Amino acid sequence: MANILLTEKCVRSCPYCFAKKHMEGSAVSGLSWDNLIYIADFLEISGHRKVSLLGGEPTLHPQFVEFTYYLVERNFHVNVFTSGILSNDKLHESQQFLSGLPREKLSFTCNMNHPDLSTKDESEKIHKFLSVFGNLTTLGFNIYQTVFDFEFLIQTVNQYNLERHIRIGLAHPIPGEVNTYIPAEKVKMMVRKFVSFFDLFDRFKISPGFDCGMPMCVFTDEELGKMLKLNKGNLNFKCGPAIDIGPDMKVWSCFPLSNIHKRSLYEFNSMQEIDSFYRELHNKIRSEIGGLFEECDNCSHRFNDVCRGGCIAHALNRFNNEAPVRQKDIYP
Amino acid sequence: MIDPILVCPFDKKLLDKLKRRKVVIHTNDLNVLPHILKEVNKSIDLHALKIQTEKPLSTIVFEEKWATLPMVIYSTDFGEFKDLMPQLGKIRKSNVRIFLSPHREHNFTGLRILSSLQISCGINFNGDPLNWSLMNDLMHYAIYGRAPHAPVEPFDWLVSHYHPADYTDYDFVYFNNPAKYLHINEKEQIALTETDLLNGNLIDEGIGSLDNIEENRKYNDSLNFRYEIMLRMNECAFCSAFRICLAKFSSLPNKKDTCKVFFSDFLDAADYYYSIKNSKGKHLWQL
Repeated sequence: MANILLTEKCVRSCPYCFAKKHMEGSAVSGLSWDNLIYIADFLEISGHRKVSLLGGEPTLHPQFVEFTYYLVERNFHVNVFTSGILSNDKLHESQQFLSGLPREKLSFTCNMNHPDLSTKDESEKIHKFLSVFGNLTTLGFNIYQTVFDFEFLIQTVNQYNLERHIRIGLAHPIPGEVNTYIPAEKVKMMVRKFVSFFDLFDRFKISPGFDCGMPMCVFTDEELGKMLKLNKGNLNFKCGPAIDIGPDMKVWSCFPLSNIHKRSLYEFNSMQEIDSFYRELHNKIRSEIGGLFEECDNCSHRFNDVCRGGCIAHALNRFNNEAPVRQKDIYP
Repeated sequence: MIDPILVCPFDKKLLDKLKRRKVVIHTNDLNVLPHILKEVNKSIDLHALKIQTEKPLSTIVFEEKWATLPMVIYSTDFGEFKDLMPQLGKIRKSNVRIFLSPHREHNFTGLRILSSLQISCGINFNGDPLNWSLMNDLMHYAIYGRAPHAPVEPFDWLVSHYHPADYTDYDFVYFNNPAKYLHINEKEQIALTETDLLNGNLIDEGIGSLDNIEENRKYNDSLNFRYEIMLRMNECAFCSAFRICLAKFSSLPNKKDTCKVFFSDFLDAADYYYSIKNSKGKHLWQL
């Protein structure tokens, strides 16, 4: 599924933001109509019928409602990644045109931070958003430190009768930059904390699904079994090209890799070509360092493609403090 | 006998006299549509209903009952997509082509939006000075665009009627070709094009004269107008794209940066489309 960045402006300043590196280097304010039509055509001829709208905060784009409606009219399933922090006018406009659409056509992933990180005004806006779009919304949460809490998320799911699923992302490093993330040596500690919520998830029938970049070996077999049940058979320990498309028609593999081999969408004829291009880049990096841990180099689960060894940005981060002696393609 | 389709205003007296003929009714007033609809059901053999409006497209309220009318709407402005959003379903159900003026830059984007949403549309490409670069982009989208989209005129019409050994006049799209259309007003004055009728440049008068139109000298001259251009031996006569532009922009001062570039690309596109349409694929040897 391709991710289209409508704008690079954001309303929040999350300490873990892995899009930060990309946002800083951008001079473009927002996606244009002409570029949106080109991207929609490009995805359609590539056989892709699902698209995610990202930012920054995508709802800040002046034509957010029109763009979303247009893509839906073109028979794409649109998923919007939002903070849920919308101005009253934008929320009203979104409600008027989008709230009647069915979930098969439009969904939202509302990325929540712990309430302590949000102002009162932000929290009120999020709750207004969920009151309107709760039936179309799944919660998302990014883990960026070893101490975290899911209770406020479970409470929000219950309060607004949201989909009983939480999309869990891990904050990843931005190679060469400073952001807050879970370093490799603390991943196991973070997982112990995560596992401690299993009973809570089970009691409230909520499935905690991983986004990408989680290694499998940090869980015991018993924990994997429990997670498999909680997630109704769906578990993901993959890391591969997500394919982000910027407002300036640049493409890159994913945010942590946004400063490596950024290309123009016009250089490719299909999504398959882009995917192959970045998959090859991933493979080159993986041939230098298998994954998050040393054991990843010879891990049979990695060779069997069950686990990719965590986020590739960790591997790239390790190249920063050494002489450039590796394959030249893996450097920016 | 030649039986041209007559482009005429919505005038009941005139239409009563045109009962056995196919007509294109033109109007500037959307409010007369219910009356036209009534007449169509009674007596008119309607080829198309041409509506010209100064209102932005997005402000026109489409009605379900128009679905049976073969309509073409000429609007000066695309307007706001947001206003159009609730109407998209009704527009798609209608038997309508939407033409926008080339004089507003955002109309070119508007046409791509409409086409990509499977709504037939076109640019009102009628002789005025234009933004040739935007025209070229739109033409490329219309002809080379790989994603499914609705036709964009006059590009789609021209490439689907083009023959490399013949002349192709895209003015058919605008009801301005005497081989198929003639224009008539309430006074039964007859002209070759809408502009000629407005300027009083007539070829004949009286509906009865239409029965012998093939004997009309002005009419016959118009069908062979291209010979006259060729004899003038000016830049247009030597332009490779003459076959599809037919010197419509002969008054432009700097052709090599304007119409010539565009029409040469358009001709390439027409040739490309023709070769695709007529390619019979690989021939396997026969037993």
